[in-house]
Amino acid sequence: MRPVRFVHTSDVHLDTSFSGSGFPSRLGDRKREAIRGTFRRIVEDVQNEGVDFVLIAGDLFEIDRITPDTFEFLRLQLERLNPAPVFISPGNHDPCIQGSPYREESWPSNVHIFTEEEFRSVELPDLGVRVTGFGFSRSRLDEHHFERLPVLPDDFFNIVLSHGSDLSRVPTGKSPHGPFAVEEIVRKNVRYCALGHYHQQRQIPNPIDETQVWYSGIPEGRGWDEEGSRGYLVGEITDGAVRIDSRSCSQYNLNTIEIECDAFSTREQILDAILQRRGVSFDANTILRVRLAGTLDPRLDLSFSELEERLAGEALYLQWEDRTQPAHDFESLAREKTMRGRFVRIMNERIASASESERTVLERARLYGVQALSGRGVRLL
Amino acid sequence: MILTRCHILGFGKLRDTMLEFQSGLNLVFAANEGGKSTLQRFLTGMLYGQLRADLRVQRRLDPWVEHYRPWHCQEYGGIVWCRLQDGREIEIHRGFGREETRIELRTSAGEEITRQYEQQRNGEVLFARTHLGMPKELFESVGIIRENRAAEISGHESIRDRIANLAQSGDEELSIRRSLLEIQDKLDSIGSERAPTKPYRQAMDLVQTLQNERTALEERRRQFQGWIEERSRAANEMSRLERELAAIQRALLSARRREVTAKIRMLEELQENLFDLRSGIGVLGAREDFPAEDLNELNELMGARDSLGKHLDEIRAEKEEALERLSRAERQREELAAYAEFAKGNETEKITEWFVTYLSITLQRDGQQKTQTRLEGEVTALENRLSELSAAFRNPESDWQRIAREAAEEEQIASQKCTVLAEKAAVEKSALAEAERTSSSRKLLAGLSLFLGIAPSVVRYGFGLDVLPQGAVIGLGALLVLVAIILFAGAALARKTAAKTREMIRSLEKELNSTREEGGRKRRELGEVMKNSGFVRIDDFLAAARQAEQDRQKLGDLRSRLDEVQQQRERLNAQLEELYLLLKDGLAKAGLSCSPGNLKFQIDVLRANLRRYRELDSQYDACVQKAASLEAREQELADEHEAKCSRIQSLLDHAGVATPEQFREECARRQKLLDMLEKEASYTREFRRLSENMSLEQWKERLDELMAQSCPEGAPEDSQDPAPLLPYLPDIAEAEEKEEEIRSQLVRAREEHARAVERVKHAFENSRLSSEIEEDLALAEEDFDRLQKNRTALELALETLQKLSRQQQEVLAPQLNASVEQRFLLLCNKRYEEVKIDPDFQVWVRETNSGELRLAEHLSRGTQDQLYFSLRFGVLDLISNEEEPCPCLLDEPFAAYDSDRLKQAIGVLTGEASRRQLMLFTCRDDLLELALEEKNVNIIELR
Repeated sequence: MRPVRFVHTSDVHLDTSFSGSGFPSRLGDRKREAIRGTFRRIVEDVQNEGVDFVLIAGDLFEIDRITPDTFEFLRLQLERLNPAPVFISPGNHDPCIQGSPYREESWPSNVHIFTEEEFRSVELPDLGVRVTGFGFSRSRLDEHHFERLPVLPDDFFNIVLSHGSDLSRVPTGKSPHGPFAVEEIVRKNVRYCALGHYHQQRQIPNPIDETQVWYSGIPEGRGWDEEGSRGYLVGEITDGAVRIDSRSCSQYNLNTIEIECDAFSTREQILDAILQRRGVSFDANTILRVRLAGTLDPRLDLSFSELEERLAGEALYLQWEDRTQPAHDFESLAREKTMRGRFVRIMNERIASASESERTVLERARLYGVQALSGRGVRLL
Repeated sequence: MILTRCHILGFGKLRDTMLEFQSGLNLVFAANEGGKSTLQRFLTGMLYGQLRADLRVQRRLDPWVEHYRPWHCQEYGGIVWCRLQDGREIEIHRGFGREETRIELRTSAGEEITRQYEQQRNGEVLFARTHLGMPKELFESVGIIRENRAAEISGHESIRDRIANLAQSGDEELSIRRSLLEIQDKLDSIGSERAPTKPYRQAMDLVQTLQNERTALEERRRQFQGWIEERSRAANEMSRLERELAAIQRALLSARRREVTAKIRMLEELQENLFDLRSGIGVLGAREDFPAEDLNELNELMGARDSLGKHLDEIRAEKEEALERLSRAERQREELAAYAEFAKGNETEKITEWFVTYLSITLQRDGQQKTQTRLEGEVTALENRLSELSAAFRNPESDWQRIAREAAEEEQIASQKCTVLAEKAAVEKSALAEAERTSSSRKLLAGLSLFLGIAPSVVRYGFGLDVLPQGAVIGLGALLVLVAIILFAGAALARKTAAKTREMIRSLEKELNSTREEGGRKRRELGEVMKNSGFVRIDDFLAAARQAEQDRQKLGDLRSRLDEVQQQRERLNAQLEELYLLLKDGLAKAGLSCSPGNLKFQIDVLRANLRRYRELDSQYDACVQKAASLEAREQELADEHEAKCSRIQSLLDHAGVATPEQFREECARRQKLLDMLEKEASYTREFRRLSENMSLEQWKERLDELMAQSCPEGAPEDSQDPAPLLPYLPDIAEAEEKEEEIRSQLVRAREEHARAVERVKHAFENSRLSSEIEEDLALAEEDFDRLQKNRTALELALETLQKLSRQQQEVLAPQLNASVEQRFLLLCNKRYEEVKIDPDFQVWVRETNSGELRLAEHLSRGTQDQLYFSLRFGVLDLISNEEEPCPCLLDEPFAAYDSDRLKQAIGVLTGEASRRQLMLFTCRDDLLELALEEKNVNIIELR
């Protein structure tokens, strides 16, 4: 019997917003177009590599943002794969609710959407494969839905497709939608479990049986916690065993470089430090975040616009993150018997008793006051 | 703090130089380029280090470090010895020139104390800052008084500002007012919500605009969802109507085909029927004038005749049968003629009664027989059981119940007697014990008395001890011996009493044993009998005795009952014999013989034959009557049949036919002819109506056209389902009406769907993506938030500084006023009598002569210099640590002073030196000379 090949992807997030990453809309537009391009590339790979079927484990798009144009794009792309079956398991960002595009009737005939919050099976007898899927029909699912996964008959190679959160390793800031432990999947005759939700591509360790449980990861990085190259998974089933390979497909990668400014006294030194990382940490297609750390020489005029001008064309986009420490020693300054000392003392006292939200403003006020009293000019943050 | 000495290892041009300082005024004299500034920098560097003060983390060297690299040696640094206010002496070791070089602090005893001081992140140890209470840059601006530059003050930079700067910031170059203005400028550059051209308002407007845009888009998205639903609903409606239209169109076509096909078939059938009718009329050859009206009468007559004939045949057959039955009944009655007598009398009832009585007695006799047998069985069984009893129970005279009762009573009496005897024996035993105890105690007392009576005599006469008088010894001894004799006699009496008591006890015990023996004798005999009979328990034995007695009584009863039964049986046998003879005679009259065994059978035969005879007799009478009535009826019917036959023949003759069948055929042919003619006319009318003035061929052509039409899309052509929306096959008119209705609905649905599609398609045409708006909004909000925070922070800083500034002015101005006045009045040589510094740091001086107040700006340059000089010391007083007076370095401060003023200045410095250590650096010879004149000035000459 010939090997059966399939593609496993998820979390494409078509029409997503990059507001959380601090991207301007012009960059957001390019990035959204890149996500479409990445999805198109996956479709082309499927066509070129003789893949038998495709698994999409949720968050294909964002239900609050998807446009008719994107839906049409999606429909056309999936139609290109006909007759290869495409299985879609809706996730928390694209739940199959009232008004969802998943409820449209114009999906190509090769697309099967698991629209119910129950595990349903579709058999591919020619391939000897059974795909059992679960679809979110709400944007928040707290139940352990994998507990409802029945023990499947072992007459076919069983694949389970779903969105879900592995509770053994929840990434920081990630909501655990559809929580599960790997023990809820194993011992049910499942050979491969295709998951979506976590954007990091990884296999969940399974010490119990031979079930392979994988997150395919996000194919095009979306935020600063998704830096570097991204991709999807290709599976090959031979004699009942599955081998998983990772494929890179992202177009515009995100990356962060950190520049220690302690030793710098001029802007040019910062520029040189950034350019030294060119080719290694970024190229013209990189969305680059430059994090300035350490203590900045107060005499150094840190003009980001000028730095951006000098770095124009080196990266797709530059974002600055100024984490430099103020040069002033406020504790020492507070001991002065001058007005500056009195000012710092007052501000220090207020900062010490302030709430978290007030503290930022008070610290800025202290900095600006000290800058003004130091005669070097006020440099606004 | 007082610097006591220093050792310059290498610093600029100075090398391996040891200098001693005193606590008061020190004058460092050197020519220009003689090393004054180098020493001054050395001392500052030794106190505050070589690292840039504005970088807490980084180790960046101050610019002077490079400048003062040693000219003549490798070592760059030195040692300074200082004495603190508390008397401790500290050595400061420093090296310069390399970033990693550090300070080393030691006590006079050589103990390293560097770690006792706060250390900055870049490694700088804050020694001087800790003690002097001011950072490096402040020391450099306040602790070092350089040449007065009041003369250079121009225009807006009034002396007041400088004073204010010095007083508030410690740096005359640093203006609080300018700082406040700068913050205000920054605030203005951010703007507020009332300044539409400034970033703050613009950012706020942008946020508002984007929020509105987002709200509008959200509203549009909600509408979009509604439109999507509308579109889906319209599409579904359109699809449903299209399906319905296709179905109704198919139903319409089907109805048309069906109708035309049916019409053609009907026309063909009509045409064929007409042809058949016309040819049938020709073939039929019927007479239209045949007297068919007589047919009914003929048929009635024929019917009546046939009916009469049939009835007549039946009556005749019935008569024959009745005669046959009569003959058979007569023969059977003859066979049972012997029973004629029985049928008339009551002989039969008597025989029956005897037989019943016979049967009853037989049953009684059999019952007695069974009772006898049962009683005999019971007697035998009882006899067997009694014979198997043990020998003790065979004698009916033995009353074991009584014997047992007597044994028990005897035993109880004996037991009571034994108890009494035992009690008596116990009393005697206790009396015996008492007697024995009395005897023993009396013997013991007698022995003791005897001993006590003899003992004094033995003591006196045996040992020669004269304890008691002789009379007393003898008297006491005699008395005690007498007592002993009496006690011995008592003891003998008690022993005798005990022997009697012991004898009494033995006789009681003997009587007790014989009573026990006698009382248990009957019991033992009974036990012996029980043991021989195989019983262990007395209850079982007595129960068995009772049972044996009962069995014997029962056997007697059974035997008397058996005798009674035998007598009864013999009496019944006699009665039976008598009845049998009566029955035998009765049966013999009917010709029946009998025996006791077949008596019942013969009685039954008698009764059955009698019943049969009676039936045959009545049957015979009925047959006779029936035969007579049938004969009369036969005659009547034969007459009527003859009349009908005559009338039929006359009708046949009139019609000219031979038989009634021919008459009927002719009538039928005539009727058929009439029917065919009527049908032909009807068919012709129907054909004309159906054909609608078209020929059959034209209708066939039309059907071909309809068959050539295809079914509409969405409905399979071969489907037999006519129209799912109608529960029956509609006709053309109905289908056409429905089609029209659906068609108009479909047009409306299509229009609605097209509108919905268009609406969905253009829903977001003039809108940006929600993601774009969110991204721009996030940035705008971030920018606005940043501006808001900056604005709030700047306002806060400004407000705080303004408040502080006012407070400072109010507090500092009077303090400064006092500090400045006491120095200035010394310097000005009594030309002025008062200095006033107002809260705005305006300085006024009052002239001694005129008493007028003059502004500092209006004074001469020299006076301004003096005022400035006084002010610097005043500021140093204000800013420096009061507990640890700060050394003051004066770098050629009197460059513009003439000799008089210089003299006054030295005077002031001498006074000042009592409060703090002064290092006056100068190249002026006149100042050196003035200093040499002063006693307390330490002169250091650099060469």
